[in-house]
Amino acid sequence: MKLNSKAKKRYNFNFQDVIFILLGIFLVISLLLYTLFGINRNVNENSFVVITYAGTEIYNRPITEEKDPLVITKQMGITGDPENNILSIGREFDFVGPTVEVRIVDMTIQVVQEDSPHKICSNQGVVKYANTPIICEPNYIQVVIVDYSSDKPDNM
Amino acid sequence: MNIERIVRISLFVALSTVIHFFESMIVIPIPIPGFKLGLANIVGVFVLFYYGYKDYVGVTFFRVLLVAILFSGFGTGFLLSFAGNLFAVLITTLIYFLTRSSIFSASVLGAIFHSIGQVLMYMLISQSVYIITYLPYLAILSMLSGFLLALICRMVLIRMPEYKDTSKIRRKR
Repeated sequence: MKLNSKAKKRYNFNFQDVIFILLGIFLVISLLLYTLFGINRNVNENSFVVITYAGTEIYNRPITEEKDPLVITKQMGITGDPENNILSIGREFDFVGPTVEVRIVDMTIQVVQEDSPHKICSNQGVVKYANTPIICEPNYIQVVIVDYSSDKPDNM
Repeated sequence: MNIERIVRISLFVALSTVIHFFESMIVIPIPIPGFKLGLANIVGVFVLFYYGYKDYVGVTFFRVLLVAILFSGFGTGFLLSFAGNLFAVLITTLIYFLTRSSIFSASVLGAIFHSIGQVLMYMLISQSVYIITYLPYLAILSMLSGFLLALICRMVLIRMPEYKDTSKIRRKR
């Protein structure tokens, strides 16, 4: 059976594809440049570590406070005791593993223990840049270093 | 909607759901949250360029629904997948109608906008914008996988007789 030539044209790489794919590459490169240079990635003593569970903030303390490890549990009753390195997500404990352990040392963050099908966030390793989150999608946990100092005016 | 279309859509929904299931078994050792090959999109691109946009939209959204019902449930995963597929369907349909470009740009731009949609939905859900740091890497990898999927899809499409011809055969019988 003979292919209709008009239809067959749309299966082959043509000149318009070059334009559209170049547009796509341009979009991606501008996004890359924005995330590399447009976002503050520096970490200093005034930075904070913020941990959220499903959008709710459960931990917000200076990065200089070292935790090795900080255990996040779904245990009922404990409202969270950051002094003793235990956090509880409290109310709806929809969580894969029994615990998620976060290590905060030397101005870096790392998820050391978690339970999820692909172990993406523990494979991500040590993160030393600000505004670069570690995301444990099945556990709804997000760990990120936030540098508030850049948002404030310098003369205050 | 005639019976032929209903049968066709359900056939391709079943096919893409099975592909999606097998894809979830493949573990890609890339520590970027949310990256997947998107193999099920081969079916989408094939249906769009072989049967037209109505079937494509039907197959994509019924697949998202069926995957949610069978495997993941209507949680965060469903919302992410829905937003990603919505963006991908919009851009792919626009390219299909407004331009004369081929399956390659439809697949590649669909993949890029799929990750953009997912990241935007994740921002809405988690109420934080930090995930944007991963968007460029996610988009680069999706572009590559989109291009490869278009290559595979082309291999299938050039071996198929034209759709109108197949319906003629059936009538002649």
